[in-house]
Amino acid sequence: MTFADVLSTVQAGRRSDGDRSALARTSIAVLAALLVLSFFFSLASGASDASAWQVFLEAAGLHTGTLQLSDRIIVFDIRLPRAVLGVLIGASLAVSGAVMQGLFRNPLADPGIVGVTAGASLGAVSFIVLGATALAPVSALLGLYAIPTGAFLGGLAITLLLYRVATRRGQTSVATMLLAGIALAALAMAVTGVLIFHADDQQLRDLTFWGLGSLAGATWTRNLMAAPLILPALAGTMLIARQLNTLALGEGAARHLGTDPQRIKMISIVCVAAATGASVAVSGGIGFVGIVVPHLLRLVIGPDHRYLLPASALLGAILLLFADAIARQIVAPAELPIGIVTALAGAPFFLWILLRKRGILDL
Amino acid sequence: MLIAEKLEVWLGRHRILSGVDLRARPGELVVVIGPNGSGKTTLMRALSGDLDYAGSAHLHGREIARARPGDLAAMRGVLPQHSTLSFPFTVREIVRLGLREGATDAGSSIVPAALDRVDLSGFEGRMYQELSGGEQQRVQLARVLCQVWSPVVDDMARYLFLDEPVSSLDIRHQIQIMEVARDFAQRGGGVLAILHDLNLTAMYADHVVLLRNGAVHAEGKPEAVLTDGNLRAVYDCPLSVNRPPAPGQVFVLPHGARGDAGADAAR
Repeated sequence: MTFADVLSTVQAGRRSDGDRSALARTSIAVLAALLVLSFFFSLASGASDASAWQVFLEAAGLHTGTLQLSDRIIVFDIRLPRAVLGVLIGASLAVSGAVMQGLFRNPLADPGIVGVTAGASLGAVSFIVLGATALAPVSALLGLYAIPTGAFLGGLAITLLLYRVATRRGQTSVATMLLAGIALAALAMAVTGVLIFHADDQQLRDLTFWGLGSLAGATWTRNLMAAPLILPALAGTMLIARQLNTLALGEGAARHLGTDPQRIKMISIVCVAAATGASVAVSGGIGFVGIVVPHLLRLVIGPDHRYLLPASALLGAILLLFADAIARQIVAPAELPIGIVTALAGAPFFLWILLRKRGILDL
Repeated sequence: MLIAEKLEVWLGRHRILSGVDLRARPGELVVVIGPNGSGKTTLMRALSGDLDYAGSAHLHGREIARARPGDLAAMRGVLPQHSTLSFPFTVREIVRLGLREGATDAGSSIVPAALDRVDLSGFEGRMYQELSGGEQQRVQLARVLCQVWSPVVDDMARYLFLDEPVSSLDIRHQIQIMEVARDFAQRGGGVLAILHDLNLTAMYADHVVLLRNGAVHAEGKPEAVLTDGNLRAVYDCPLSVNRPPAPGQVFVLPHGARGDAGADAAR
């Protein structure tokens, strides 16, 4: 099926009965298949020349011995944890964006743009720099999860503040949200700067990747740090998908339909903070995935969160795997931080949305 | 049964409603009228559970301010005066939002039926944001109808709260929507509607509540409430209530148009 076919199906769906759920389910199935393909593509791409087919045979246990030992190590000990982390982070970023947009009732809301990522960075950096001194007792208690927890709390604080500032009587002003996001991000980055000023050389090396975002150095340990926050957060958002739909009518109408807006807000904010925090803790600030993915999907399957959220998870994972493949190959044998790749593609896309919908900023 | 007693609502430092008593029985179409700023929408919002109030307001024995949104949603649907939508849903997707959670198979017949009631059959696939104001208002009403599709469930009457349901409709659809409201009441449901059109009020209301400065100025049957004295006092506008078309029915003609105000003075 060509892209034109898909588009005409979409148009036909709109003209006839306005029910896009079948189209959405088909899209999710296609995305799931694409994700499996992308995953093997990701395992096979890189400096070593193991082919995707060989990797698939090995992984499936169907035919062993086609890979050399060095390739096996590269594929299973280096690329596999990295690909798994890419899937986790991609899903987490895209779903966080979609939920935040549903909560703020605006397609421009994104954890990276409104400062949640900056808050999460501050939380993570606090534990890196002060983990051995001021925060030592907490750090010892939380162990492996100290940095993700710090990032979660940082992101949570910024999201709560942002909601307080930007929302009055259930109505969110886009201008206030974006401007408050800039101010909160600046504040978080300033405090982060103070902390970095106090960091020693080893800590500085640990900190460098936060600015740009990278999957480099992905290990099973990193996966273990992120998954316990990301997976429950993703599951939590799926539980409130239907209520997020009613929120699109405004808080009042949502309440009249039986939704408890306060409850949905709290669940959304905690889930977004957990998913964003965990992502930032292990891979730094990877931008624009949360804005590009849900926007593209809404054009095709519509804004129904029951389908938008799972589809976003899948497409976010696919996009991040591809961005990572590009990041590894474009300047090989060195590699570009993945955050640069997503920003190079995502920032123009963000501007394109603004140009198409200038009215969105109506103050 | 919807019962409000000594209802008082403050918004900021202003008392918007004071001592409002109101009853809306199942099977009745109750219409609230009154000039701008008389507290009609505030009354509706308090009874919908949107505002805190002093006094009491009960729907089927439940104190409205303390009821959970889900419990209220099972008992009444609310059509607000203004609606917003933040994402590009189709008409069908909007109306579906009115279905209770878990309603799937039964829902597939309710959505088209609800759209038919508001004269929007065939609009399922249109994008909501591309419709005219009047069409959007009718889509929202279809959504509310979906929520309380059966006027009576388990011997419990359900209610329609309509805040100016015909404010942006042409004359044909004004009549059609009022017929939908009347039909809902005749099948055993309760209807509480805010209207500005006094003639529609005269034609459709079983019971009229006339508000003035946040208090009930008069209430009762349309012919008892819609009198020269009541309306001139409350609206501060020269007008007279007339009685021709059908026996016993009244209609209201403002005198401002075409210099009739002078005729009023001369009389």
